[in-house]
Amino acid sequence: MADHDSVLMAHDVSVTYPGAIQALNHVSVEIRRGEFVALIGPNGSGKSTLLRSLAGLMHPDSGDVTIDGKSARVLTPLERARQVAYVQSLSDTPEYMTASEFTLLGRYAHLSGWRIFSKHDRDIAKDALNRAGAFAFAERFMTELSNGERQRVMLARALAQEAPILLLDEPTSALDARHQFLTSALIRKFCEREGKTVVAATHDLNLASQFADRLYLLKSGTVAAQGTPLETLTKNCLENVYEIDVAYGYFTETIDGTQRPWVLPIAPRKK
Amino acid sequence: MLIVVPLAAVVFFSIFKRMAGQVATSRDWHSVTLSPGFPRSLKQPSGKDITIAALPVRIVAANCGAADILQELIDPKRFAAVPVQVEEYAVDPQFWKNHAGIPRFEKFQAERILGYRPDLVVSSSFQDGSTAAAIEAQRVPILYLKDFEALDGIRDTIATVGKATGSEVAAAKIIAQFDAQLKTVAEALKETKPVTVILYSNFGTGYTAGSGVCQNDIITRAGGINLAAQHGMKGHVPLTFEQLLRMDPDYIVVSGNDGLDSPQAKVVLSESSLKELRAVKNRHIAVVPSRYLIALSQHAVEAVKSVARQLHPEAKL
Amino acid sequence: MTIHRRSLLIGAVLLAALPALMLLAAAWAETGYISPLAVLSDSGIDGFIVKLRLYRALCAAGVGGSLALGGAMAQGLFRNPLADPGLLGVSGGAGLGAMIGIAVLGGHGATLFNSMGAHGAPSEFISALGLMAIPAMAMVGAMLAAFVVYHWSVRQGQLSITMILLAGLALNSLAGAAMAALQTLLLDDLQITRAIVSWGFGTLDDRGASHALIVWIGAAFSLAAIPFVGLELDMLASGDSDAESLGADTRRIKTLVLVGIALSTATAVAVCGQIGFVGLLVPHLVRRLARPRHRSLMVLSFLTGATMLLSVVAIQNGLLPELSQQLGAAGYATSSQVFRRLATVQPGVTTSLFGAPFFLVLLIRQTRRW
Repeated sequence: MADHDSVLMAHDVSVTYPGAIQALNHVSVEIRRGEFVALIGPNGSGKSTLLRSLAGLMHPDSGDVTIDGKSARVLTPLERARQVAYVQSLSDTPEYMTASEFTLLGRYAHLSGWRIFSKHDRDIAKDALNRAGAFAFAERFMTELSNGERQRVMLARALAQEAPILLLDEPTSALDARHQFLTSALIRKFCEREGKTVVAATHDLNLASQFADRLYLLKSGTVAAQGTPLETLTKNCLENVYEIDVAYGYFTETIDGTQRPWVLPIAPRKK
Repeated sequence: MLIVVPLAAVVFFSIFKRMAGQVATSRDWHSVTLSPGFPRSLKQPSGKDITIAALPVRIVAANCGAADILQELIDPKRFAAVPVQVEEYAVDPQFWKNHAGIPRFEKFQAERILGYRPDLVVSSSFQDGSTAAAIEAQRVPILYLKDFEALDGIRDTIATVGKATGSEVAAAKIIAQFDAQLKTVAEALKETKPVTVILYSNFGTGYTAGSGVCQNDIITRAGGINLAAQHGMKGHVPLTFEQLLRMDPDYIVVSGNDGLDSPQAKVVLSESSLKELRAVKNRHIAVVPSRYLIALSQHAVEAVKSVARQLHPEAKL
Repeated sequence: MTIHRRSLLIGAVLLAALPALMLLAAAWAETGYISPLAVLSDSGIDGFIVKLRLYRALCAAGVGGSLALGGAMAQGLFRNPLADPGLLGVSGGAGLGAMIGIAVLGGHGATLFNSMGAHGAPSEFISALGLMAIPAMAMVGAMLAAFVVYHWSVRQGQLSITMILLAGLALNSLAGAAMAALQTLLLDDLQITRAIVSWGFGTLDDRGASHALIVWIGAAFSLAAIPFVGLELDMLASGDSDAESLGADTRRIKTLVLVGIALSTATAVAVCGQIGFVGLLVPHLVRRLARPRHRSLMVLSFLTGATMLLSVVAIQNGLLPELSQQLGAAGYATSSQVFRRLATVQPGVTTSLFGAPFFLVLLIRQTRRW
């Protein structure tokens, strides 16, 4: 069960992109220690922007982001990296780097002044690859891996960072059905067994419902709904936000025994 | 469209050509006075033969070298234009200052030159080819002065210019003077022993002159032995400190207008790598005004005299 | 053999090759063979000449290494294998600085300070200062250009790579135009024109101790930056935000790399003029042979560049004159002349002549692989 101290907070955050595109409009979220929070919402609702702001990679135009009590603005990149591990959905693949070398980079925030990897670092990286299920192809080059394999390596790198907070942008988008499930379960395990705090932006409503403690439903840069999956994923809410007709049901078995709905989009709503 | 455009281009072009041709045939810069010995054709050493219709009275000197030669051969009134650099780089700048009425041009450009309505242009072979072509297209003869490897070549040059300008008598006089001066130098140096010499310039990279260029001949006639030529170097070639140190000449010849205060002399005297050279230690640096050293005219003999004086002060030239 | 071991092997070979090539360059040059030991034993002309040769060799190694290191850094910073230190506008700035220096100080900077000495014979230090005037102006121009480019590229606290490219391009065009204008205005003054042309060609001849010192100080600074940017450049290859999320201060790293590129290129160009292709070609070569990460890429690039230019000097200025001499003695006059002239070709010309086709071959083989 999660403690009730907030470890990550966005307070009244607004972000406007050049061209007067309002990505976030006075959004406030609160993430508690050990939680698994999912950010859901349609394309362009501001999920990625919110995630990047929470990671401290982007400073909002107004409002504030605090990481473990400290404002993200005053933290140096190194300090941030020790607290927050951020995994992008897409990134350029560096050439001539094996998966294990890539994962090892996650140790950067813990290196000494001369930037030399110790045996300890290598052990942690190896362990991270194992936990992420990427050990089998650790010595292959990143450019040779499939999208799914690459995503697992990126997860491994985030684990190697040993940061208590994990921010994931579409962590299962490139995976097949089986691995989507396995990876989500894995992430859930990080929360329960290792006490990590996870915030994941995802399109997959059902995975979010199955594994997350709480959801934030975003629409057009504002929080349309928040709460447990049961509270957030109401038929009404979904039909308004996504403008679709949904079929609705409940999972027979859930990870913690609470009631969790499943949703199946049927057809777009006629205007 | 595909037919109209090229057709229009052809029509346009032929009209244009006709206009240009018309201008040429109807134009005659000068009145065709009957001059003895003209028209005459000259066989050019470096180019095609030229025909000079009448005694040239509007002569353009394309560069300072040509101006230097022409200056002593023709009446100043026969100059149509000279380059603006004559007041600085010509052998006798005072002459040009005294004749400020002669038009000056900054750039050797066809339109400008043709504007002076010349009947003869005297140039050197390294002038812009297309400019020359444009001038020749207007039936203006261009006499090219050839580069020469030895001072003997100057005689031919002066003779040719004399023939082209109808000043054979003056040319012969100059050549005689030239020969006489060279003979005087040779006589004075008869009793002296030749000294070893390197011609040197350094504007970032060291250069010297080997065999096959005029400067080499100048040095030889001035009682010097060109070590670069002796070592088999031909033409203007780079010379490193190492090579200069090995050669260790008695004298180093540089160009400059202020004696040992000239920049090139200072370069040699102040370069720390060269301080062991005998020529530097004894301050045996012969400084020759560049206008003489690179002269393509009879004034090259001034270079010989200047170098000889400095190499052999005992000869009392 | 693993890539790691191969990199180490290549590094070791190059490290061994450098002193060997230096000995070669010290023993043979334009005036024939001298035992390199003469520099220690002989206090006369032989020893002095060997010293001159060693300075030239040191400059060659330093310049080659600096240019190659600058190239590796630039390719890492711009994440583009076609990047070249010149993109930053550094070479343009250096050229303009040198040209202004030549225009102001006259055809040869040495004369500026000569009147300062007593009896018209200036002290060695002062004349060395004079000789350094033009390279100093080139350095100033280069660093100013790098600073301007940097300043124009900072957007919202971040260093934008696109802006650096554009600013560098703009600066190069500006410098080129200014240089052309200056040359046209100064065309009358033969001395200055000759000095400008001479500088443009670049040369490793007649370099002194101060030249070698300047080059190696610049190289030392840039080499010192490697431990602090090597790993980071690997991280930047996945993108700015990726690197930032791992803890890299991207702005500081880019600044550091920029300074490294500017310093190494500026010192190399200031002292020896424009020597092309080394910065572009060498990192490619190293990547083909060792496929390393940025840390080893930069170190190996430096060593390879140094070896390359040193070989050019050793062969061109050392072996070719010797060959020419032998041919001349054997009676082959024309070949002797040909080799003699070949030996005087500027190093910048040689690197371009050989570098360009070599680079083309590399590219073709690379595309075939894919």
